[in-house]
Amino acid sequence: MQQIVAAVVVLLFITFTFITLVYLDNTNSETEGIKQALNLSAKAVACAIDGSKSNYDEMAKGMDRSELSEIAIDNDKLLSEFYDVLYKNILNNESFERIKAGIPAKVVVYYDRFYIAGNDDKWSPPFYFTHYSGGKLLYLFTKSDIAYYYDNSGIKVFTNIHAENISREQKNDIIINKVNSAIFQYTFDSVTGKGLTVQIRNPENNEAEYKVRHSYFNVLDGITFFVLYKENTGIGVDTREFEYANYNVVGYTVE
Amino acid sequence: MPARIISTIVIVLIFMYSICLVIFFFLHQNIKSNINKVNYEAAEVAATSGVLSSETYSYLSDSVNRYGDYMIKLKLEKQVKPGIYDVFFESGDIIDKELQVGDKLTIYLEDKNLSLFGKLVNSTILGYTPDGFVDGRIKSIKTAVIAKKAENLAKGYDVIADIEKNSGSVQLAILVVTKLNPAGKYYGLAAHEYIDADNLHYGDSTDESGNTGVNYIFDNGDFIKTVELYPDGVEKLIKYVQQ
Repeated sequence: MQQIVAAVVVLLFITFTFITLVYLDNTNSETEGIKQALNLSAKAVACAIDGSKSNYDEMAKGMDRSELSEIAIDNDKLLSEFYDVLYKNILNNESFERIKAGIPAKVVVYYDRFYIAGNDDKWSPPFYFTHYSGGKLLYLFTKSDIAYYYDNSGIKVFTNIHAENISREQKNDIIINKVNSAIFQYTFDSVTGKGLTVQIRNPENNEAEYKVRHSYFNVLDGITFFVLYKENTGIGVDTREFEYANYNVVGYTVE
Repeated sequence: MPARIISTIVIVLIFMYSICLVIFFFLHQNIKSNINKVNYEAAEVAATSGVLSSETYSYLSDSVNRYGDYMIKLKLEKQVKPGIYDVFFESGDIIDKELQVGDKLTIYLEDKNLSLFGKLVNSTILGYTPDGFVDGRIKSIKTAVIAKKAENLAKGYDVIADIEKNSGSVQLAILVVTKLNPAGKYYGLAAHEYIDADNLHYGDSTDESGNTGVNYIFDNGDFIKTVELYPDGVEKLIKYVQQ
C-alpha cells in the first residue's frame, strides 16, 4: 500500500512539473517563432518601393542621389507583402490572426515624416517632424541639418538647425519623441492606462550607458519600416493574476 | 506475493516510461528549436545577401543532419514583375543563383524519421497501442523575402548607364554578353588593348536596336558583373553577362 502511495505521489509530482515545464517551453518556442517570422516579414519593405516615382528612375539610371532625395514606399503593397510573408512563416490561420491582432502599430519612417497604421491597417496622414522655434514651425529631416519653414507669405524658406539654435542631438530627440508619441497613442490601453514607447537610438548621444541601452534600434538612417508586437497572456491562479508580456519591435531599413 | 511482484514491475515500468517521456520530450523540443534556428539563419542570410550560396546550403544541410535524417525542400518565387512570379523547386535552379529584391525563398525541413519522443508516444506499452499515429516528426518552414540583390547583379539599365558613364575612359573597357551574342560586344576607346575600334555609345547601331538586335540590352534584364583589374588595382574590364 505504502509503495503505491509513494508511486502515486512521485507520478503526480512528475506530472505537475512536466505540465508547467511544457507550458513554459511551448511559450518560449512560440515567442522565438513569432520573432523570427516578424524579422523575415519586415524585410517586405524592400520590395514595396514605389517604382512610379521619378527619383526611382534617377536611381535606376545610375545618377547621383542627393541626400534628401528619397524613394517612396507603396504603403498598401507593403502591408500586403508583409502579411503574405508573415502568413507563409506561420501557416496556421488561427495563429496568424492572433499574431496579426497583436500588432498594434506598423510604422514607416521617411527622412522628413512618418506614417503609422493601427490594427485596422489604415495608414495615418503623414506626421511631419516639426518643431516650434523662434515663432517658426520648423520642418526637420532625419539625415540632414537642413530645415525649412513657411514665412508669413507662405513661401518655403530653407534654414539650418544650427541657425535656429538646435543641436543635432536635440533634433534627433525631437524626431524620436514625435515617433514615440504616435506609437504611445496607437498602443494606449484604456483599461491599464498604459501605452508603449520604443527605445530608439539617437546616434548623436555618446553617453556610454545610453549607447548600451539603445544599441539595438535606429530608425534615423534611411527609410525604416518597423512593427510592434504586443501580447499579454494572463493566467489566473486562485485570486491572483500572473501576466506574461511578450513585446517585440522588428524592422528593416532601406537606404 | 506474485501480485506484489507484478504491481512493483508495473509501477517501475510506468515510472520509467514517465521519466523517458519527460526526457525525450525536452530533447525533442530542444532539437526542434535548433532546427528552426538554423533554418531561420539560412533564410535570413539569403534575404540580406541576395543569394542562397552553396556554402549556406551546406551549412544548413550539415547542421540539420546532425540531428537526424532531414529532407530539405526549397521553393523560389522569382518576381517577373510586381505580383507575378515564376516558381522554381529544383535546388539547381535556386542554389548559387543571383536573386532579385522581391523574390521569395522558402526553406522547408522535415525529419524523415520519428524522434525518440515520437517513437515513444506511438509505441505499444503494456499491450496498449495508441489509436492513431501521432506525427512527431520535426518540421520547420521559413520564408524570406529578398531584401538586397546580390552585390554583382546589375539590371540592363545599370549596364547602359555604365557604358555611357565610362565612354571616355582609355583604361576601361566594357564587355556586354547577351543571350543572343555569347561572344559579347566591347564598348570603349580603341586605345584599350581589348578594343579594335571605338565604340563609345550604346543604341547607335542596328544590332542594338529593337528587341531582336543581338546586342540589345533589355532594361529589366539581369546581368552578372565581373571586374578585371590592372596590377595597380585600377579597373581594366567590366564584363556583364546576361542571365
